[in-house]
This record gives sequence, C-alpha cells and structure tokens, in this order.
Amino acid sequence: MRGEVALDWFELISENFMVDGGKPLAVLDAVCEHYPVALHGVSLNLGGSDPLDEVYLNRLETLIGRCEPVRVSDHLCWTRHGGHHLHDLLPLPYTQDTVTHVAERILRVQDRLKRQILIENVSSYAEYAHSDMREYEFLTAVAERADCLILLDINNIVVSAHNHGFDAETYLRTIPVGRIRQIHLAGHSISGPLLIDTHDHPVSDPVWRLYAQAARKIGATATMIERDDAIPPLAELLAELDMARTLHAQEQAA
Amino acid sequence: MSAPTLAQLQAEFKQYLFSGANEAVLADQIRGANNIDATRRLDVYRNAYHIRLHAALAQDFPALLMKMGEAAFGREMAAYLKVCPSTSPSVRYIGKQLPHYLANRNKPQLADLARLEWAVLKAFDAADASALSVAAMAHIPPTAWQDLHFEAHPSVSLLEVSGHVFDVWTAHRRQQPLPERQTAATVPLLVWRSPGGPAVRRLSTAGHTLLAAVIDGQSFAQACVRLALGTPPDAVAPRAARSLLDLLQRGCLANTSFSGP
Ligand SMILES: [Fe+2]
Repeated sequence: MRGEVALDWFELISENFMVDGGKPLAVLDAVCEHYPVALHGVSLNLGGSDPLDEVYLNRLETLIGRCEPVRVSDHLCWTRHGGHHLHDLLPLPYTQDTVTHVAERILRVQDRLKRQILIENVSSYAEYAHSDMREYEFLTAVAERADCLILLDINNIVVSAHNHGFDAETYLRTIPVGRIRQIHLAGHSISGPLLIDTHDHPVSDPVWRLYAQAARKIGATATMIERDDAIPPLAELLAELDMARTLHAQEQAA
Repeated sequence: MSAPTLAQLQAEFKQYLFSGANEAVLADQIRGANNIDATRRLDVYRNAYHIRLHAALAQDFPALLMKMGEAAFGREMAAYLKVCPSTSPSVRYIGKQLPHYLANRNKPQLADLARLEWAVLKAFDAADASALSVAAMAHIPPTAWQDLHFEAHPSVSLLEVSGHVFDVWTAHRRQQPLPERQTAATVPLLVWRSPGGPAVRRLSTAGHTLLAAVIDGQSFAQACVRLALGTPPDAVAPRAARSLLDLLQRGCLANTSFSGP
C-alpha cells in the first residue's frame, strides 16, 4: 500500500491486530508505514470489576510499540466479567462509587502505557435504578478525576439521549470540551421506541446538527465516520483482509 | 433494598446474557424511563450478544454451517456458547473450544470439520517465521544429516480427519453440493499458510510420517526409521527426500538444527 489514499489517518480496532502474525499484521505494518493511526479498543473493560487484564495490556503495549499510534482509546463501559468476555459495550451505573472505580483504573492504564488515553461515550439502552448522575455528569467526573482525554461519539449521544430522555445539547454544554481529541459519527437504526447504534445507516440529520454545534465549540478535531459498508478506500482495505480469510487453497493433490 | 455492588450487578447481567433466566431479577435494577419497560431494554443487549457471536461462529465455520444447516447450527452454537463462553478479548477466538465441544457431544464428524476449519483460521494469523529454503539444505554438511532436526512453520497443522469430512470441506470450498456418500477411512491433511493465504492439502503416507516426526521433535534419521516400517527398503530414501522437498517447497519448515561441526 502506498500513500495514495486520501485519508488523514486510520482508526484500527486494537483487538483485530492482537494476533501472532500473518495478514493482519502485514496490513497493520503497511498502513502504519504511510499513515498515522489511532488504536481503538473494545475490550479494555475499564468499567469492569474483574482486575485489569495484564495479558491484554501487554498485547496493547506491544501493538503500541509496533505502530506508534497518535491516539489510544477505549470505551466508558464494561465488557467482561468472571473471566468471560461479552463482546459488547455494557452500561455502567452512574454513581460516585463508579466514578472513583473507573477513574482509578484509567489512571493505572495511563501509568502503564505512559500516555493519556481517550475514553468514548457509548450508546446505551438501559440505565440502572440506583444511578444518581446523568451520563454527561458521569463522563465529566471520570475524565476530570482520571485526567484522561475524550473520544466523543456524537451518534451515541443522540441515541442515548433519545433512549433515556435527556437533552443532547445539555450533554455538549456540560462535558469538558478541552479534553476532546477525536469525534465519531455514525448512523443508527430505529427499533420501536428505542434507537440502536448499528453503524449500517447514513449519519442522521440530528447527528449532523449536533456535530455542527460540537464543531463550533471544539474547533477542528479528528473526525471519523463509523460505517460498516464504508468510504471506498477503507472498504477496500477491509475487503482485502476479509478476502485473505477466504481460502486460496491449492487444489488437492491426487 | 440496597443498591447492588458493581460486581453483583455485572454477574447478574452476564448471567442474563448467557441464559435470560434471571430477567425479572435484573429488570428490577433497570429504570423503565420514557414508557419503555426494562425487559424491552435488556432484550436489546441479549439479542445483540447472541447475534454477534453467532455471526462470528458462522463466519469462522462456514462449512460446518452448511453441513448442519442454519437451524441445527444455530441450536448447537447456542448450546456451545452456554458451555464455552468467550475467554478472549478478541472475538477471533470464539470458536477455540468448538472442536473439543463437538467431540464431547459425540459428534466426531462435526468435530473433525470444526478442527479443520479452526486449523485454517490458525494458518491465517499464526506467527510469522522465515521458511527454510531448499537452497539452505545445500549448506548442511553430509555428516550432520544423521542428527538433523526440523521445526514446523508456526502456521502448520497436521490433522487426520475422516475422508467424508474432507470431501465435505472441499465441496463447500468449491461451492459444490455437499457429498452424501460416507467414506470410512481417515485422511492425513496438511494445513499451512501459503503465499496466497491458508491452504489445505492431502498428504501421502510418507509425507504424513515425516511431518508427524518433525512435529514430535524427532530427527530426520528417526523419521526415516519410522518411514521404513511398511516401506520397501530401497524406497525409504527417495520417499523421505521427496516428502522433505515437498514440505520445503511449500514453506512448511521454519528452522533446522544439528549438533557437531
Ligand atoms: Fe464510536
């Protein structure tokens, strides 16, 4: 791959490259040779009650050494319990205790990786009865306490605001904009009374409107559209990875 | 009622994703705001969990899916996920226990097919290692051959599966109708990463013997002794040489070691 693709940087899902070798790491090296990359994780389990996964952190550290990312991010949620990975971004109770717990874990990760990380707000479909803060108050408190950065997903704000009945503009007014280093945009789908973050629809008008407001407040910020049938160059790259998974097996010898 | 600890809440939520049996207990902890009740909200998570992991298994085991059919595959995978939930941060390894699970369920053919598809996945992203070249063989002193040890490339698997399973896998790959006819004998298969991607090839008896010896850490000489069992004496050397050349040319050997000058 040469540097002919008109993109400023690539966001890579960290876990896809936590393998021993082969095509995924070859693609990683090719991308990193010509573009800045941001590593975006989905399994750090910052909000979990399981201890932080040292094996995972080792692999993340190795990956960071290999591609020297401009940003490292994960989500403000929990993803594993009792050693089992649930492969989803699960909701946290928004309480002072959770703020303390999550912020301490972020501080430990940042110490370990010797860099600030970005935490991303997730789409959620359920809030706990004992939550006594709004999501934006929770995000603000965690980011301040851990002195970490923020990856703001505008679609996730719109989805969660709809599902839980809070005001998206208040969200934007409350959070510490100075900590925002990256923005995600995406589409969502409608399932009865709920909005679902599915990444398979175009970015909706409310998301574009909120993005315009955010852009005025935050200024120029690295922005990426999460789309599964995406922008052509990225799609080609992923298709290449996928195609390599399908077999090139030689014909069986007689 | 006092609020649950984070660990209690997460244990309850996990159990709910796995089985759904404790839905009422968990729903008590969820706010039913905006006239959307708690169970409807929780359903989003449970559906997403199962859809996501089924999709990953279907992608990793496409021949198994075709052999079993959508409905039976779906039921078996739901049962598998209950017994063997993910223990890896990457969904790439969700099928790790599937061959073993199917064998325990007394489904040897399905287990064989899963084993073959799992080996193909391993060939895709196993560690990189420079392959030993045929030319490098010329630098080995003749006296060293007696104690020569080879190492298989990290992407290599040696499998024995039923002939029927290999026929099914091959037909699936060629997008042909799956064969009905059962073949009893097992076939030895080499799975490795070729320059074009994962590859599968049926091995000769000599190739099977040689590769099994390499994987067991035996020397080339010991492999030839194994090969001599059931081979006419004057055929041992040429068959060993041909099998070795075949493995070298496919990039299946990564390293060699010998002691002495
Ligand atoms: Fe996002």
